[in-house]
Amino acid sequence: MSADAATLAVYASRAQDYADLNADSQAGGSLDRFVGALPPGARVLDLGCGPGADAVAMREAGLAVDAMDASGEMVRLARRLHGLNVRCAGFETLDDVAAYDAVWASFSLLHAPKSDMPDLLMRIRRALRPSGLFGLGLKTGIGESRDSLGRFYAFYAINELEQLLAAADFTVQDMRTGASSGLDGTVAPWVRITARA
Amino acid sequence: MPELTAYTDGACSGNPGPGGWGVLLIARNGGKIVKERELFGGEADTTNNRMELLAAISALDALGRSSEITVVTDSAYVKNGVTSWIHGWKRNGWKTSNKKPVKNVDLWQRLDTAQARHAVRWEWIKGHAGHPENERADALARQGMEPFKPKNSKAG
Repeated sequence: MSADAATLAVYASRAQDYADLNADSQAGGSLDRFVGALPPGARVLDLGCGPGADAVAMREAGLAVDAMDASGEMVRLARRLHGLNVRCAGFETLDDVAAYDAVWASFSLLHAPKSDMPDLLMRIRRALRPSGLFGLGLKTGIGESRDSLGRFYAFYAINELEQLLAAADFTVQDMRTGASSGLDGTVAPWVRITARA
Repeated sequence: MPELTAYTDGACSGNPGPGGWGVLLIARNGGKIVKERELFGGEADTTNNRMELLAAISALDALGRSSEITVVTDSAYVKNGVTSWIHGWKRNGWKTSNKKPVKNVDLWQRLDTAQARHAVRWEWIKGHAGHPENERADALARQGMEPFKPKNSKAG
């Protein structure tokens, strides 16, 4: 249930490379729309914030941002680069109740085993206030595997994700697909979903 | 930044038979239409599903550079393919779970390539349910099919 050691090791050894690759938020219009759907000062949790590019963009947009990441190196970078309020913890420790107006999990939950996903979605649902907003980015595909660097990935078919979200009592509002390249250099298809609690 | 929406539809007279596809591409700025483009085409011997796919492909390929675009379709076939089947097909080297060749694999591969260039928001609607833009896409698809319909041969 706790974070994958090999994945953490990759992020530990290549934290700066990853931060350079993601120096600016990669979420583009998706993050703008997410922020635009929230009132000023809304409380947001960036779940698996990495070096913190999205979190700092949300803070600059006037949101009250908490962040968490399981990688100690990422947490240090996010604090040092942006002075963010970051907890160093795995997803499975999330036990806030009705604490947030929104949760942003952008290409982070893909490092959790698929078997953990129902529980993690329930935790996110519970952390949200009524009608809270959930922004989720994942890689699409089937099964689980490791990339050439050794990072663990879970892949989801879009309809599978829709079912998982429905089971956790989320209503999908928006679904987008695309493809882009990551730290391992390969181009992979992704989906971004916005859902309401 | 204008918001792009492509309303896509396919039409087929007989299945298989002559068919057409249509795309109504609309750019809106703050809800106000700033630009419209109509695309259509057809083939002599095709299926409704192929025309639905070709409409979506044509919409995505019409954009010169990587864009954020909403594709609106009433095709359950395109929906099931994009949200479900394609993940398995790609994993199986474009074979079905029964190891059979994927139907319309040429077009599914084109759609997969085309959508990878863009950030695509998919919107699934019911066809012929009073969506004016969907009706216009349907009319364009019929227009695309027109040249491929057998000429009026009353003698038969």
